[in-house]
Amino acid sequence: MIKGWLLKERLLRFLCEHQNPDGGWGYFPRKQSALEPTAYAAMALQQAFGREIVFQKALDFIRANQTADGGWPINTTDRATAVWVSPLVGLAVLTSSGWGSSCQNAVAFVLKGFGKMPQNWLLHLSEWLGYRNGPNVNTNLGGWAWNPGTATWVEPTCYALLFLKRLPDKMQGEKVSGTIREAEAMVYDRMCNSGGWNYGNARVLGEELRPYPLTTSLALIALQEYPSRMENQKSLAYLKQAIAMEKSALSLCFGALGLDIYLQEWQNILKQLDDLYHETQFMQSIKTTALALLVLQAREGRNILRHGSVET
Amino acid sequence: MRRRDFLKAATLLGMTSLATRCGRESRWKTGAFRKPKASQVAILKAASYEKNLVGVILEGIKTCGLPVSGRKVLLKPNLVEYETDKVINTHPAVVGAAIDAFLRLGAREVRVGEGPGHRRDTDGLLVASGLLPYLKETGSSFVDLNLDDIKRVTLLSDFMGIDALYIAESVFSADLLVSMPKIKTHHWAGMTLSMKNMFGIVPGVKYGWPKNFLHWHGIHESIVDINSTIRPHFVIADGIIGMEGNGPIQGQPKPCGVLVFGNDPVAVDSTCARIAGLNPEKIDYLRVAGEFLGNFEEKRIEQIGEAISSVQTRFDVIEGFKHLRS
Repeated sequence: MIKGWLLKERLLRFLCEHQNPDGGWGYFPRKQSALEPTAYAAMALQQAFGREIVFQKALDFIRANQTADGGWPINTTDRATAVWVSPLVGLAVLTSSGWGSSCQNAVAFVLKGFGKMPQNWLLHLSEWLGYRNGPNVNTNLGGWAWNPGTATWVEPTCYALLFLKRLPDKMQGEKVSGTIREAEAMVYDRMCNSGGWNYGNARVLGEELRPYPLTTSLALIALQEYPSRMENQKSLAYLKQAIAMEKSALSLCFGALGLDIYLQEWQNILKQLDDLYHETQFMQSIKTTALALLVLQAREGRNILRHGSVET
Repeated sequence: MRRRDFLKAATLLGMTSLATRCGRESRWKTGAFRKPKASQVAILKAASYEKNLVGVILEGIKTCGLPVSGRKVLLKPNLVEYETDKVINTHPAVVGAAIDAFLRLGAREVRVGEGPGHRRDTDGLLVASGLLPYLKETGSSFVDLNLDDIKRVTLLSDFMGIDALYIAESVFSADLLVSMPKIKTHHWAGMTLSMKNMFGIVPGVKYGWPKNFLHWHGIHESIVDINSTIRPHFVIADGIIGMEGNGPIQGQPKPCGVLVFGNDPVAVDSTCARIAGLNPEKIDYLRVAGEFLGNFEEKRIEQIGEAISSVQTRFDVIEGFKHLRS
């Protein structure tokens, strides 16, 4: 097993070596800069001694790519503002530079993206005629979609929750808190019967869907204020059992960050991550590398996804 | 009326809608397509994933006369989920054997690419599904098409009602795009084969996990538009063990003992449907694609190797798709 500091140094070096000239990172080396991996890399580099220039370039890239409507696009090719990635980038800005006009604009954009599940008229008609059972989810609860005008999903809703919940108290007005409450209810509504979260619904065509460690971790992180709620406990139990067999470094990272927030034992995950690093080098993924660094920081007591871990 | 009946009704409505659209030639760019007069499809027996797969795949490629030497190949298997008791993915042994076969035939490079429909942790899928050792053994690289660089492409047909889609860049840097589906029934599309498999070249980074954007524009419509614009050059369909029932994830294994090859995806998919005992004319996207992309009529398909009748294996389908039976 590689010692923590040595692995940390290797991962940091990997990130720094593969920063693009524009200051961003692609999902993989030599790929065009994209906002999601750049956001995670910026979070991972916030306190990296000796990497201040790399970090600053990353922040400059993020600022330069904020769109007029306050959000961010997915990458430098597609200039359309992306609903799902914007809160993640907002979180990176908020935890890096604190509250400012950039975050204020991002909040406005994220709130604009909140909405209820759009309904296809044909499905409405079929339900009205009694030909079809109602949807398996409560469509009255709003959340966030991957793309405007499409269905709401657990993952983008969790990203938005993570961002909005980190806003400074003075910004937590009624609109924000009301949105947060409804989105939380939406995430709980999608929980699988056995605990944990699938990427989407808990049932499709009458079949129970199974939860995944990655989406479960994200949902638990987004709902971290309610550790003793039955749903959180059930999902935590699922996660602890599932993570032991997990083969994805990405899922392991989110699992570790989630379990850490819930004060659960997760040191074994470091061994699993270490094994996967040897086997796959995390598939050269910038995002996974950045997340692994966040995990190593969490071991040192700074879990950036824990509310209150960084002053915002 | 139960949900299954509704699904059936909705499918029939979809068929009518698609057929209406299909009736107007303006749905695709005239002159952009040259449907072949006839297509060849090779059905080769392969009893298991253990024995001589490279030999069978070499034979399939050679039989169809695919030029490989000096070309950059991108294999696009169907990699969706991994569950120990399910047969969801194109078997990694088939992918490994295909890499080997293309390299033996002189390919300049063979890469494997996939953008799983709803899982973001592709790294875990590679490890859990058993594909990673084959990649390491052959020195082939993997590209996550969900997170690849992207390129905006104007669609050459108009069933989804949009002008353009973003597609993973690696698709364009390959000389040969090989669709490698698992032969499966599908609870929304009837069957998922080489054409539906192309959903994996549409990047999740743009369209989400799942690629809900495509569903909102219609699954059949999306399949046709994607394949009219980015047509796989070759198909190797894994029917050694297919999936029946509530596919593409929760269905049951269905041993079929074949690999199916061809350079006309419509013809290969139609043949696979016939092998599964389903009528391709009743699968919306195949019937519409048969109008301008390729051949689905049996008389226009030259079957090489095994006859359909000798390998036909009746796949179970969910209630809403019983009408697909021949």
